[in-house]
Amino acid sequence: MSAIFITLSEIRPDDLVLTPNQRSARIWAELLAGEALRTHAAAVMPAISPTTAWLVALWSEAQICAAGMSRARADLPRLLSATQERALWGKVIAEHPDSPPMAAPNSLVTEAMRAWRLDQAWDCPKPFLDSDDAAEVNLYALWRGQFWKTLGANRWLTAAQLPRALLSQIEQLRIPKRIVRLPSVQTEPALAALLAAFALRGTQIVGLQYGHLAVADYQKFERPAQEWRAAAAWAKSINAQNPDARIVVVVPQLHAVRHEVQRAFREILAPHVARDAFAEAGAQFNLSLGIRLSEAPFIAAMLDWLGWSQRGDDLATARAAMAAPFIPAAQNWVRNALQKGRTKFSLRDAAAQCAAGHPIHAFIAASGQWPKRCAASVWAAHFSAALAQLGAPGQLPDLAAQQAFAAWEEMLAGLAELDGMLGEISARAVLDELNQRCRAHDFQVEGKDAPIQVLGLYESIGFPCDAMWVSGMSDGALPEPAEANAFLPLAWQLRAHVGRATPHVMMAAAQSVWDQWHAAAPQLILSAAQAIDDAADEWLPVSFARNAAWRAGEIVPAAVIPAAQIEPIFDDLGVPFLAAALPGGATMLERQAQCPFQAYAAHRLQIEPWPAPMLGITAMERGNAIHIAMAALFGQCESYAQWQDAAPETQAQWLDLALAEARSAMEPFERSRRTRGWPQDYADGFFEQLRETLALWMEMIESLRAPYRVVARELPATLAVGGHTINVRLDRVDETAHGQQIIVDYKSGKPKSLTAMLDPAHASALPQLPIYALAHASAAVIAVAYAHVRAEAPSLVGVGDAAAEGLGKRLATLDADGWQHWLEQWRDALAETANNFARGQAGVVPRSPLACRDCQRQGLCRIDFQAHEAPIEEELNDASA
Amino acid sequence: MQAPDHLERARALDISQSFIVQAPAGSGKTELLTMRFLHALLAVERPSEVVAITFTRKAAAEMRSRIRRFLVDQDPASIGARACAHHLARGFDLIAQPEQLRVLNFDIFFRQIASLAPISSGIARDAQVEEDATALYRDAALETLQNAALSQQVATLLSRLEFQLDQAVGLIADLLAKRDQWLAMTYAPETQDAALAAQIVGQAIAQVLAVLRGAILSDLPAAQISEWIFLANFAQSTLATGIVCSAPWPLASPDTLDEWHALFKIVTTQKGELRKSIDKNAGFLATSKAEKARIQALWVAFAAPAMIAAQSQALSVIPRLRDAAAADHVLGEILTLLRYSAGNLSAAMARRNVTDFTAIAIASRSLMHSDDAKTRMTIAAGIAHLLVDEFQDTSITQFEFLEGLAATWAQSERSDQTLFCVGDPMQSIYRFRQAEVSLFTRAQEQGIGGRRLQSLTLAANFRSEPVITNWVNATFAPAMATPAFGTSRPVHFAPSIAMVPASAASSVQMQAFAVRADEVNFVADAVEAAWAQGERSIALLVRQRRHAAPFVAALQARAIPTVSADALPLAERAWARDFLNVVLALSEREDTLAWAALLRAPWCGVMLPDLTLTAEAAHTQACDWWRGIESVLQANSLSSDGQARLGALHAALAPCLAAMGWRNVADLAEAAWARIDAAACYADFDAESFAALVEVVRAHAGAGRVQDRLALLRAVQKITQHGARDGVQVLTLHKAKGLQFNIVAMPQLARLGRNDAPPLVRWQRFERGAVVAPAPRGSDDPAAPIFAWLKALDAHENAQERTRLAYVGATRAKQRLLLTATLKVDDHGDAVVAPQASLWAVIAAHSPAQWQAGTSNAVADVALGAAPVAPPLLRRASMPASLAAPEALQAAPQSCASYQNPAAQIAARAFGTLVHTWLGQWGRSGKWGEAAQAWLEDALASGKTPAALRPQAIRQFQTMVTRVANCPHAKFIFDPDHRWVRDEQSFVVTTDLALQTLQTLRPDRLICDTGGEVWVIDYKTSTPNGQDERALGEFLTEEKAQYRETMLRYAAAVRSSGLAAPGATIRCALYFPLMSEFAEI
Ligand code: SF4
Repeated sequence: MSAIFITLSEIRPDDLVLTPNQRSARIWAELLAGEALRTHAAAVMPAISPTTAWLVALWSEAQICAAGMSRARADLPRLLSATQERALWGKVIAEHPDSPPMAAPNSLVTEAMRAWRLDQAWDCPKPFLDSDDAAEVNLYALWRGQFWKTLGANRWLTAAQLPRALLSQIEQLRIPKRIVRLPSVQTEPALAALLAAFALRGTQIVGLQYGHLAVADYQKFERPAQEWRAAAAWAKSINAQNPDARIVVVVPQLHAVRHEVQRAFREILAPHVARDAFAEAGAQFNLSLGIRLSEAPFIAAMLDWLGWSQRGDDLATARAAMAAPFIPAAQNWVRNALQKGRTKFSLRDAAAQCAAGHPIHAFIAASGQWPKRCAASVWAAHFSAALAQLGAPGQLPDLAAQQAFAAWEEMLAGLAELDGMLGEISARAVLDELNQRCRAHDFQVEGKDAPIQVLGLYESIGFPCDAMWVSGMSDGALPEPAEANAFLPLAWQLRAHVGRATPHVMMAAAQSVWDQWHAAAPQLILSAAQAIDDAADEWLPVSFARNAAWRAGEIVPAAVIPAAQIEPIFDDLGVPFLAAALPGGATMLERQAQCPFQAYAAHRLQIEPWPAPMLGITAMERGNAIHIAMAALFGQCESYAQWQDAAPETQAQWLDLALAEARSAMEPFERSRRTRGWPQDYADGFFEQLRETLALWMEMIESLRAPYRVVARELPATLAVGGHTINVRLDRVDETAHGQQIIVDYKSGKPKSLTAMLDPAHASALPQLPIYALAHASAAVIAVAYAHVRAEAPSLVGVGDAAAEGLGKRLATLDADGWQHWLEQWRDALAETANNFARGQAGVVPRSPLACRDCQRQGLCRIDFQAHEAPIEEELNDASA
Repeated sequence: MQAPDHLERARALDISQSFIVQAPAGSGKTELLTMRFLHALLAVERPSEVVAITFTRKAAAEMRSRIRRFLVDQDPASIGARACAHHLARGFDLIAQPEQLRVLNFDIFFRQIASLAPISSGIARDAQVEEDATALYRDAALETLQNAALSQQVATLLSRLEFQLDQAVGLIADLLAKRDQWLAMTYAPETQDAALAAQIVGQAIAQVLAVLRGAILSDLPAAQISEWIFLANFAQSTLATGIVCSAPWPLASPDTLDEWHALFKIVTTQKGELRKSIDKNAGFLATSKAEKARIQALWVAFAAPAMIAAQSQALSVIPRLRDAAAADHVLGEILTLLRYSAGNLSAAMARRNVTDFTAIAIASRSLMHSDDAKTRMTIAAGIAHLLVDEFQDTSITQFEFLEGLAATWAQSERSDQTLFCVGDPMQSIYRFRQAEVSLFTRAQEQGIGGRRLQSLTLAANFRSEPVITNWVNATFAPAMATPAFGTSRPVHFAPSIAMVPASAASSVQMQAFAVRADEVNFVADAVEAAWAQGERSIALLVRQRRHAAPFVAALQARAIPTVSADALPLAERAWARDFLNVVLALSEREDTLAWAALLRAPWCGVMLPDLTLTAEAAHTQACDWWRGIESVLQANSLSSDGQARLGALHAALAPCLAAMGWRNVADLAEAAWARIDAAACYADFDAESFAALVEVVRAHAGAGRVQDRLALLRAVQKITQHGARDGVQVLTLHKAKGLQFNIVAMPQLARLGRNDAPPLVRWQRFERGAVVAPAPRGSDDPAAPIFAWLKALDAHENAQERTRLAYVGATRAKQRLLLTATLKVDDHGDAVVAPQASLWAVIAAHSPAQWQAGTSNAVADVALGAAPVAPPLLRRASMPASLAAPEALQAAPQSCASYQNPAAQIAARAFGTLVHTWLGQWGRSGKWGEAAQAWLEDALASGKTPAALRPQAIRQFQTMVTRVANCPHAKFIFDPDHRWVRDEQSFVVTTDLALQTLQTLRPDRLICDTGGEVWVIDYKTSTPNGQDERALGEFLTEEKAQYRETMLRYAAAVRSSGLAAPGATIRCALYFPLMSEFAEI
């Protein structure tokens, strides 16, 4: 290669300027234009092309020339596009008999393509198979053989083979007078050979050199964010002094920290933009990296719609699709779906939620017409048509959306490349491809040229400017770690310094990057912060500058936000509740006692936490089923004695009936089997177990009680306290032979604490049973109990007068005075609670941390868990040790 | 002073030998590893052949920088300089390329290993590692439960969980996270075959009994044992059970369990406590006075009463053999479900090209045990010396990898590879991450993978002052010496010898309280005093991060900064919570809680009555809160304060809400945040943490809005905050490992650890195989005894780990150690002992008396009361400063695109490009063969022209070629005799001098003809709609009008760029090759 160097001003209009990639070609075009226009209003520009594009153009030229010369079909192979090459590798790997069952074929394809590129560029010695290498290498060798054969059989060529193929056609090619090469990190041997051949035929190949050898300023920081802010402030000040100055800020790994960098620059250079939902990042600076096309929400939504039509019916896809900006909103369906424990939501389910004219119906009609298989380009047309039925993309609100949409159209059109390769394929396959393309496509809004360019490490190479700031020069940033390819013989890669395989190549590359930065601008700042993961305590810069005079960089303070004046206001009184009948039943009183704000939020503001996704039967449905079944059972037999006397067949009949009733009440729930992702026979099993539980209940619990009969079921009652009424419903009232009445309340959960029932002042006082006792206007009541009807450890837990006849073990018994006292104590407490609620008392005063654990309204009540004790969730299982 | 263990330290550097080193806290283990690493570097050809594995990334970074400090040593004779020179001579610059030093944690190491063989390992190189794969685990579990083919197994599982599907999914998901522990087991013969399973249980029982038997025979004098046997047999004969206990002690076999029980029945109660009395039920009649006296004498004389009590407890949970077979079918069914779930998980991961560290660990272990010797050898050949730090926290998967590696080395031609394992079993505290402390002893005794390791133990402590070292030795030596219970033996306590001199300030203080607030004040006072004296190395170590909250608040109230790596979750800061509510409200209009919360945030601060009106509006109109807000604003029904505040919020949010679906919710929420000046309302707002929060939201916003809010909240919990570097460190005990501080306070020692849900299955590995039991359904479930046994074994291990956790905390202190707890006080005002599972229980039970002073006055006068509660305040920004309505936003949509099939347009564009390319080439060569079609077909096939449109394109192209070949205009355009031609010459021009706007122009062909006239020619592939002359005429006129301006701009550029000679005529024309038309402008 020629070692002659020229400077920027020496580039001539008839030069061919080769750049490492498309983006740098664009940047260079701007740069040269700027240079040229310093003297002319218009200037002739040299041809500027990324090297790869130039090779492709050369091949096209060679093909046309060959075609022009021969009378027969031209014998130059056809160049595959990257998509086509990928598809071919996919096919070869999938169809090769020696391929093992593969977990992630896509990544293997990527790895194989990489190996192929290195293999061609460095001319890997063949065959591989006699080597002593790992299974990977041998397998690649087999695939490669097949790939090679297929290429030959079809007259196909891949981009990796271009330099060699062109070498053989060099006679046909026009010889450029001069090629100006921008500095690049590595020239692959095959390309070097091609350039050498051009040189032999008279092309002058020169490198570019800038005039500076900057004396750098070295600044250190604690964190990368500080570095970026400092760089932004520095760029701003230079720009203010000289608006023409071209300023470059280099951020290695820009793709990983794009948004953070953007935020830092925006804050300093365009603070107003932060307030505007649609504004672009600002004209003053430009980040060289965009987002992935699939990250644009409306593009993602279009993909979701297509996916929804094909890939089943999960709720997440449905939510994403229905949230598309081009779709008219449907009310409350997400919340309802979650509350019903749905995990599935098909297109048709969604259609049922939408009015007749909603575009979803047209979309369903359109997608229903799709064939099973067809060519990719035909799929693209189908997709476009169906999305058009939806009204996609809708009103594109700004330039960014318009450009993203244009890119999307290109993606769809690009599917045509697969037509010849794969023939007719399924919608799913083509959707996968489309998704992959949208994920891989780096999308950036094309705007005006900005004086401040933020570039990634490799883009910055050989980028001349007036001032450069290279950030991220902490230890390990340069050189990057070496990495060998898993499909090529390791020994060869190390020997031949293939690709990124050895520390040596990485070192050489780093050195050239380093030198070029120093030559690129008269003013150069290098900065380093501690590594992003903050692992090392020690601050260390890159090895190239370990001995430089590092000084502490200036910290650019965050914009001072004038602190708002905060006024604390007592605000614990809401709107009084004027009607005498209070809402919410026993639950309201329990909540009001636990935390007034909780009761206010739930019963006055109707605010419930967002439903957590729930699978299967919800706790409420489970409780309902038990209630209904127990009520029905005791509708058949009114006492345990009757149960005991009944023949087994009769008992079975009663159980059947109870179950049937519970089941019919749960019919909507049963119908929703599919939408909840139920396992087979789930409901059958559930009701079967419920049946066992009922039988167990009769034998384990009811059998222990003194003789009684059920005198009321589902009995409405009204608690009157403090001038208010609260409606409740008693599950069951039993009466003994001596006229004693016992109120029973069914529960499906774990047993409650007895002490919490006894004491209204208890931190987690449970008012429900006393409410029932007080609401049931009968002096005969001498006990109230929870019936915990469960498959495991069923129990009857409650409070009763000592005179109460045999209720089992877990009953707190009080003597006659105690029982009355207990009732009175609770009456007073409940009156106060009801009054508080009616007054609108809504203080954020949880009685115990446990109240907050079940409430989940912290965001609203704004309780501060740093000052309060957080809800306790300590372990019990290791306490058993 | 020379360290007492200097000889061991020197031996450890012999890199021809493999070692396992027990290095207690403060013994300078990292230093030793570093030196060994450097010595190993000197012995290899490539630096990458020496690998050091640390427990965390932070530890790796620290060790790497330590190594580097040695490498840059100026003294050429130093080990660092020599290592450096050695590799520089081989072309490796260790200083410039520090990443060549392979110091990493197991996760990264395994990732490297797996990526060496992406096919064999099944781990794709570009697969993204999910740090939190909970959603994937749950999906995989659900998929299994929905599998119709497994209905039988699913029914079994669900019936045991009262048909709580959610719970079933959660339990399977929990197990999937640690599937490396059990996956292989689900294929093991003992889990497939009932008889074999019973056999394994029998062997396991025998193994446990053997340990117990060994302890009895070694710890009790023979005379006591034979007396015991005699008396037990006496009792059995009285009871006429027919059981005879054999001397010298029943064999370790499940068949002898009756004998064991008979023996213990006469010395311990059912609870496992030593007996104080005995009666006829135990076989001692009132008449048997002599025997009674003998047994009482035996109780008193027992040499190891604690051991006997522990053995009794251990024995009481050992199941009967018949239980094993009974549980089997349930187990089989549950294991089937787990196996399927793991399969579903792998498939789902492959589909999404993601993985988790568990999958990577499984893959690496499998690679090292695979039949493919070539791959194994290739991987093993890349490592010559492997150093493993924190070896006590190695999991069985990691250990098995090491076994495979060592075995592969043994098969290779080289013989110089070594293993070097360093750790401290006393500091093994990661059971929840599958750390298995018994592997340390196993490696000490049996080596790894057939490779013997020489065992070394260090004693010198370079960290703590003597007071602390002595207290630690005195407290933890007895605390760790627990009697045998299962098969694992207690870790060996290695005492330390302090190498640092004692100072006056050094102390260990234990203090208990009855009221938490007192404890908080006590600790905060102590810290404040030290801080005031300039002490900056202070740490507050807690068991769970939430335990730290009141202390942090107290320190902040005293203006002492705190730094917490993990103790204060961002999610609990008010501003973070409020920002998340903005995100959730924008994401989901139906989320009433999030919306209502916005109204109560300090930057809005609507009071309760107005809030209520808004809620009622939304409720009565059955609409979302946004509409509710709009309707109350319209109705003007709020107080004037409420109207203004809500109006401001509305103005701020409206454009952001309108932009939902077009922009990512993270950006919109950030815009909303800025528009309402929210940050101004929080004294502790921190821009950097905010930025991190926004990025986490972005990462969880699929399709631009939050989908899985639970995952989002989990991720927010993990955000590390940047704060001041100076301050009191607040850490969990687990995070404190490896660190040291002058002053360490360990408060809240009476509180407990995490509450884990009971697992679906329990398992334990024994010598002959694994014993596995499903969670029983009720106590009469046949699986219950085995499950209970495994649970007891597990609980015992947990208890031992608790002691080690306390040890880790205490040994962080260099100078002062402060241990405090708040103990519960009962109604009588007596102190109740701390819960048995608390660290206080461990410390108080074993700390020698002189340190317990603070605990004796544990019961303060104050009774335990409810914590004082702050008054219910709404804190909000005053009007109007920050609430002035933000400026309206110009978000008006700019255009309306309707969706049309783009393929045809794009294909037309592509066709145009081909025509241009061809004309360009044709113009150059002037040649064109009949084979144009081949080139064209190729070009079309590589491009974006759908297959269906290609034949038409080819026809059109052929027509064009024929026309051009015979076209006089083309003859002129492509005449080789022109003075000069330029194809696609680029120009750049300024379109607006003031704005410096640049434009690039590229006319298709420039010609300077023989007459010196310059032609600017553009090719056009458009065609008229109609066929007739009139249509053509109109078309050309239109085209000329359309392109006139562009062409004139070209001409101007040609002139001012100097390409055309001054004064030369410049003419412009369009050429239509498809129609052979030429139109001069
Ligand atoms: S979270 Fe706690 S304080 Fe807030 S409303 Fe609920 S119970 Fe009351």
